[in-house]
Amino acid sequence: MLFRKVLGISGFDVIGEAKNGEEAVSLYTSFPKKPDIILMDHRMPIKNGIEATKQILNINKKSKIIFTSADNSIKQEALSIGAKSFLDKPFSITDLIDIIKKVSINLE
Amino acid sequence: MNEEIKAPEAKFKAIINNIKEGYFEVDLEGNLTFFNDTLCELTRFSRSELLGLNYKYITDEESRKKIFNGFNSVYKTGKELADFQYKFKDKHGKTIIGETSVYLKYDTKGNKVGFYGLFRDITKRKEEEEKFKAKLERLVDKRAKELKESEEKYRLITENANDIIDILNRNFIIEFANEQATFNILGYKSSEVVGKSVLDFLHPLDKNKGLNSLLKGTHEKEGMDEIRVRHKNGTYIWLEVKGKVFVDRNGENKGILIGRDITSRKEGELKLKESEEKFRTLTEQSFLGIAIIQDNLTKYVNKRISETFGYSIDEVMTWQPGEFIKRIHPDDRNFVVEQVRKKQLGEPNAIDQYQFRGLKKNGDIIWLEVFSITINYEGKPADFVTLIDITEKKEAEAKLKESEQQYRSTIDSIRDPIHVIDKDLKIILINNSIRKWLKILDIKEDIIGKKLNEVFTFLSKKVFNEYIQVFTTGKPLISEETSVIKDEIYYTESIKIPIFSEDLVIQVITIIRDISDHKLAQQKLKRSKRKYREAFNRSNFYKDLISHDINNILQNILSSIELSSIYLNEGKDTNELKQLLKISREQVSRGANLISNVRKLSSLEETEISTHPIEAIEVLNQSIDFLLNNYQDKKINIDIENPYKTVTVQGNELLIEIFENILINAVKHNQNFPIELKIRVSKIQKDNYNFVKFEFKDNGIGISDPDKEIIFQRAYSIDKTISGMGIGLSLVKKVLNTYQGQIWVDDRIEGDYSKGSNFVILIPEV
Repeated sequence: MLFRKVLGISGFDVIGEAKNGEEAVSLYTSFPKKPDIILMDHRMPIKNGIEATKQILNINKKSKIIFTSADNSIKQEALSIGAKSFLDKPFSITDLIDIIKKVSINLE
Repeated sequence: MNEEIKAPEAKFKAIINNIKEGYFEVDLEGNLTFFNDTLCELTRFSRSELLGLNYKYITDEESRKKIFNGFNSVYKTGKELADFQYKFKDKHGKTIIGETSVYLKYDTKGNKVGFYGLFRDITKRKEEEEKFKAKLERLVDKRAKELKESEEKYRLITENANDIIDILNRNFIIEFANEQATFNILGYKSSEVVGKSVLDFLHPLDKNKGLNSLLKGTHEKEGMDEIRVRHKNGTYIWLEVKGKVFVDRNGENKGILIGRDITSRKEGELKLKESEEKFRTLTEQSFLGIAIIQDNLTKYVNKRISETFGYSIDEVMTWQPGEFIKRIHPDDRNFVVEQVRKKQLGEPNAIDQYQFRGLKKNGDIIWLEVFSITINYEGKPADFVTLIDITEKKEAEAKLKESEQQYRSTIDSIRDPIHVIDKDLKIILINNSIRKWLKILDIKEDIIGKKLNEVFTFLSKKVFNEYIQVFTTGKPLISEETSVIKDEIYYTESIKIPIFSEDLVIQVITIIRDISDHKLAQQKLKRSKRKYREAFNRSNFYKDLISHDINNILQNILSSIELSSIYLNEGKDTNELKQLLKISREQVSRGANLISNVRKLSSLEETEISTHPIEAIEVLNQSIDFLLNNYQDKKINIDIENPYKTVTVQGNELLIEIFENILINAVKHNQNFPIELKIRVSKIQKDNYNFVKFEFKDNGIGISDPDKEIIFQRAYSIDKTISGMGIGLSLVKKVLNTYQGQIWVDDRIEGDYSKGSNFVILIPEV
């Protein structure tokens, strides 16, 4: 809820919010127009961020996924499987916006 | 002329009247016409009474017929009838037997006119004859009777004889065969053999021999032979046949044969012969030396004996009495000679089996094993000796003994206890070390021959199964055993090594090592390692809590502050700010709760927690109140199904943590509006224990099957992927473990975890 507010203020359109990894994959699959950026947490019930990232990238390897986790230990794994960036928690709104922008530029 | 006639007539009359025989003349009717005086005297009739008397008057019917027929034949044939006898009665009625000659009388013309003859009174002679005849007949009858009795006697003897009795004629044809014996011995009826040649019944191989015997017997008047005769059933019976020639009543030479069944004897003889041949074959081919000693002489030796001692059989057989003694080693001589003496005399106290040293012809010493018995040889007791050369065995035994001594001193020098058991698990060997061990265990030392389980009563079934395995597979086995002896735990390591004989495991050597110290040190190390690992895991866990959960909390607080700042700058309404403040407050509360749980968990892990009876419903109600107070912003419907006013369980003050954790999770992981909670309290029995069952059903996000177990494990497994529930559930499980309780999670609606969860808790009822 907080990130939706933060991203909304920053001018981003949040098109979906998932409570766990499985829902994230399902939501991604259901979008007719895929999101430009996906913010992915790691520790989630049912399916974690790494597994969800792998599945989404399997569906569309061009998906831009920014990993955000308080668990720094999975940073390397997240980047190695195709996450575009990794944000250590806690991070500032500025940091988040900068990373999104950076990843968005690469999107172009 | 008349004179001439008268003179012969007178002369005739003078003669007639002077002879002692009666003279008669009768006419053709039988009337007396002329007779002399003698006739009157013989008939007691006077001349006048007699003249003209018809013969019919003085004869009976039988004589009458006889006389008529006699005279008639003379009349018809003209031939005289001499010595014609007949009976008549004299004047006094006495029967007179007369003997008459009868001639036909002619007249001068040649006509038959009557008869004449001389008559003699033969009554006395006849009476004498009759008497003699009667006497003779009596004699004949007597003899006949005696003969008959004799014949009967012989017949009975013949018929009842056990031996076959045949009578042959000169052509060897059987004329008589006694019925019973012929049938009993040969199966034939007498009628089946009579009329046939005795040779027809002989064994084909004995026919020539039989014929020769018969011919020889005929010549020598007697003979004897043993011969095979065919039984009616086709088998052959051995008969001992004795024969004798005799002359029968007709004066012909006959042979009488008496045959005795000697089949049993013959078979016995054959068996004896076979037995003797077998004995000879066996002894000649035997690898055992065989000798018969009688009167201190070697009466028999086989080839093996001669080979054993290096003498030829001829040399041995020509030994002087007692010479065999020289072939016995001087040290053993007295003993052996004594045994041989006893055996030769058949004394009962002689030793049957012994070993001694013999001397070969070349002087070499050989070890011999003797088996000897007293036998009857040629009617006297003798020593029947069997010998076997055991020199090699003895040498091998000596080597084995030496080897065993070495083996024993080796195993005795080993510090580890060692025992050897056989297939029956009987102890057959132990070393010195095991003796020391036995003393410590208060086990008597005489364990040889006893079964392993009788001696080491503390051994488990596993150990015996291991021995069976080694005996079966032939593979060595290393294992560890734990034994409780005198309330102390001993740890041993044993190596079970199979000993083979002809590919079969016959014994197992066990080398035992007391590894109790090592084991205790190992256990201490293990415990230490576990503690270290637990401490390490705890450390990691707390580090993870700080780095992750606290960072998440801080993230939320930071984001709230930053947003608040933006909102303030943008002049947003206070409601937005209030919401952000609330989030910050919640995050602070979450952090505080996390720290509290860490403390409790830490305290549980470091100390033993005691339990006591506690009233659970009251605690449950307190937990519900706590939930509702803390989540006033959420719509929570709680339905409680509890038939009991009070329920006492075995627990402690941490019970409230259990209920609160479950309830808070049910609300926190629930996006529904309203949040539905159903709490059910019941009592059940499980594994013979009474439990109080608490079920917490929610309509939250649910827990997938793979996560159903690991959600309780975070504190141990440090699975960082488990998210969202902090350390709550692992704390709950740990507390319940101290209660001997249980916890698990089911789907609220079976098979569909997304419809929410049902947390089930069992706590022992008091």
